[in-house]
Amino acid sequence: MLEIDNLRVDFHTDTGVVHAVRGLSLRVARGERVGIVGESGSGKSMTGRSVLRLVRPPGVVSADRMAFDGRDLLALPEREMRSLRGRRIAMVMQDPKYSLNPVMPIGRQLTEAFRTADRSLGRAAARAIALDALAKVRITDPHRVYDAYPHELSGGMGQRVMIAMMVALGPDLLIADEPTSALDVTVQMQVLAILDDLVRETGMGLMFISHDLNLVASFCDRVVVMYAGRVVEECAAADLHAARHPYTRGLLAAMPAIDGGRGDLPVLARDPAWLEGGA
Amino acid sequence: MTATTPRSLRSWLLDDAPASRRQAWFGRTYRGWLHFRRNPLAVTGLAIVLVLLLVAAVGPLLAPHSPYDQNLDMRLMPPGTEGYLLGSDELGRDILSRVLYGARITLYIVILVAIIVAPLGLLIGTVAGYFGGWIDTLLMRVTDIFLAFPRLILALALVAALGPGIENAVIAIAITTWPPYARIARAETLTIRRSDFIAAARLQGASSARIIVRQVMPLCTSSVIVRVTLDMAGIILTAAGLGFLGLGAQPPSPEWGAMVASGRKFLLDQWWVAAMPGIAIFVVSLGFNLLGDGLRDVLDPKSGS
Amino acid sequence: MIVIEDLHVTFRTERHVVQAVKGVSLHVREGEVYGLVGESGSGKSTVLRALAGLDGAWDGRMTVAGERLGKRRSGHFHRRVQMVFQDPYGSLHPRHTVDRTLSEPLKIHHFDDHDGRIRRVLREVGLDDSFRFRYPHQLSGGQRQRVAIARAIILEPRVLLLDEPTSALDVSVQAEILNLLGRLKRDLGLTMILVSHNLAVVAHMCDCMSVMRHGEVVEQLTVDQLRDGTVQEPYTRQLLLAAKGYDRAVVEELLV
Repeated sequence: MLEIDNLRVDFHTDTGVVHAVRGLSLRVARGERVGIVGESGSGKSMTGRSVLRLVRPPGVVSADRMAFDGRDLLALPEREMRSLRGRRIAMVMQDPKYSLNPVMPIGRQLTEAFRTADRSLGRAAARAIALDALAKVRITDPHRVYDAYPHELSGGMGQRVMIAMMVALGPDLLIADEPTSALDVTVQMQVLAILDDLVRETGMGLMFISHDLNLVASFCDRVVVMYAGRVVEECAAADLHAARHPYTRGLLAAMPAIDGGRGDLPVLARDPAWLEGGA
Repeated sequence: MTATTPRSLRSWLLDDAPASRRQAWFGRTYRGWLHFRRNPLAVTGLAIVLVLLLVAAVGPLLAPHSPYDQNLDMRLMPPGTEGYLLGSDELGRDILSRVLYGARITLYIVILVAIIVAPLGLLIGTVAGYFGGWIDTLLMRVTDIFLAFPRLILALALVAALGPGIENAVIAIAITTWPPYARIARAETLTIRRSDFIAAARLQGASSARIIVRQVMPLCTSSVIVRVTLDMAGIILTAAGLGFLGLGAQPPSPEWGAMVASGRKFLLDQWWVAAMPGIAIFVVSLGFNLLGDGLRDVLDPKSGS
Repeated sequence: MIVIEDLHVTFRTERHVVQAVKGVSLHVREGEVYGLVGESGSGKSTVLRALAGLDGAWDGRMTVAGERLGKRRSGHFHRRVQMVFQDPYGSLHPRHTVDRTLSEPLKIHHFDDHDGRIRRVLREVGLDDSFRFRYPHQLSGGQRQRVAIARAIILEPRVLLLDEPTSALDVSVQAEILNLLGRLKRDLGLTMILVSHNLAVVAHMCDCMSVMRHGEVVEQLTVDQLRDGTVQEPYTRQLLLAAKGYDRAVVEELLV
């Protein structure tokens, strides 16, 4: 469904060009959960943003091919891109606090988003979809949340609202950029369960961007490990523990485990050769 | 990285691993300058202010006449008249000479106001913001009281009590100008005081005075400095206003505001009498404003370097 | 070494009174690393900050090495108890060089030989001399956290309070900082309280721990009990299961 070949994102700054993504290729199929893992600065967020053409200047996106359902995303006029965003491809960011308008009740934000995406939608119909969407993300009292303002909601609740907003119109692809990193573990699990349901029930493709190897390994079908703007490893999530690239193995080893030893953790020694190598 | 290899000044300044406090400080200042230099308007502002400084220093040497020499035969001569490049005023005094001498007075006012206002506002604002509670309430209500008076009326009352003259006018302006500075410093302090580095300083046993002076104030000064430069135009004009009311610079003195005021009578027929000092005020105000804008970009503590 | 008994902390805003900590008691032995675990709003950081004397109106009994803590902390206390904060970007003064950050505490407590002490402490946290005169914006997150640790240990304290010291860092940097903290504990015999939401970090570093929720201690246990999974309280079990990654069956259990 999503095909990316040789994606590059460059930032032209005063001190020179910064290459945030350097030749990344990726496929996401319908109903597939692809995890993109990497440390800060690895280019994982930029990859997600480039798909929706949300990279701001001075960032420049280029690729040999970046297609969604066969349509070239880089060549699409902005008008059609807008209709794609939200309806066919949706995105959930890390912190719901910055994604929701603080002075507008949740319900109005939802209905407005839906009616912008689908002009034919009536007021009452939009409201029905919104309440339904809130119920779908396991909000027990959708009517209360519908009338609430963002500050009246907890972080977990806010993130559910964001997911409800993003998935209500049944997108084919959801890009989730650290969707649960700001949440407590127990809430995190609930939010993941909601995403899990959506993928199972609607066949939505999921691009799950995270720094948490364990989480990605346990949640996704396939894992892509990024280092300095490149993919260094790509494998089935179940096989991540048998990863071959020294970087992936180093990351795995550097993580303390509840049932692990108490001695010093192996420290990742970065090899300059990783910058050039690819998967 | 050793000091024995010869290096250019530039690489010494831009060294990522400075070897001394001095080098670190110079390095940061130089980076700030590099940043500042990229903004042509700010550099223009700096140039204007530097010219003002220069003129204030050597103006009397450049002036063709004494600013007080009257020549009633040559009164109200237009610009370009032999010996009177910018024309002459109603008493036949050379306007160019008066403008050059006036630069010194303007600079004097500006500096005097700045050294009174900035520290006073900074101190009151940071103390109020850092301690909060009743100290904050008290200091901010005092600030409100000063803000509630029309500035010129309060200045008038103060000058009436202190007696007319430039120094007293400056003191009056300063006393009416500090409240916004206190507010800025307080607002900055409120965002800083909850930060972890303040908590760390408290945990090291630093006294409140030490924290305010060494940790909080350095972070507030940049906004205050920017505000001072942006306010300079207003200060010059208020001084001119007081001069006009007879409470600032006294008549023969070539203060720009007073010159504009006296030229007002001839505005339609002999425009240059008011226009020349007016242009000087305009250019200097603009210079300070441009400089302030440029400094804001460089000194903003939120920006990385 | 550290005794906290029946600690209550309240925060007053204009409209609300929030009971952040409700009757927490714990004992930390000398040379031990004690973990405080919980989710956001559990009051774990508040306990630490109350102990440090940083905020909140508190009530109860706290002693450090036999010294009963009052509302105001003595200079002696500051020499003995230091803290490392979560956010390495917010815990260093943006306009102070590393050198200035480290010499401030030395000046306050009238230490001698500033130069030698700063060099030694930088070496201790694994930074060479080239870092000494840099500003925070010239350092990476991990390097900043090393500077923050250097600032905490330069006064040669006996107790180190750690408030989520690695949660803002990448995994590989986290490992380096955890190793550093482990070495400091062994070399300097420091007593530490580690606040974290990450059970694996606590299991790696600590000897004993308290699980907190809604301002109360839910369960106190040793890390060995945590490893064996012999936990008593359902909430601790939930945290433990959630920490092992996503598992559909487990989530169904959590949701009920």
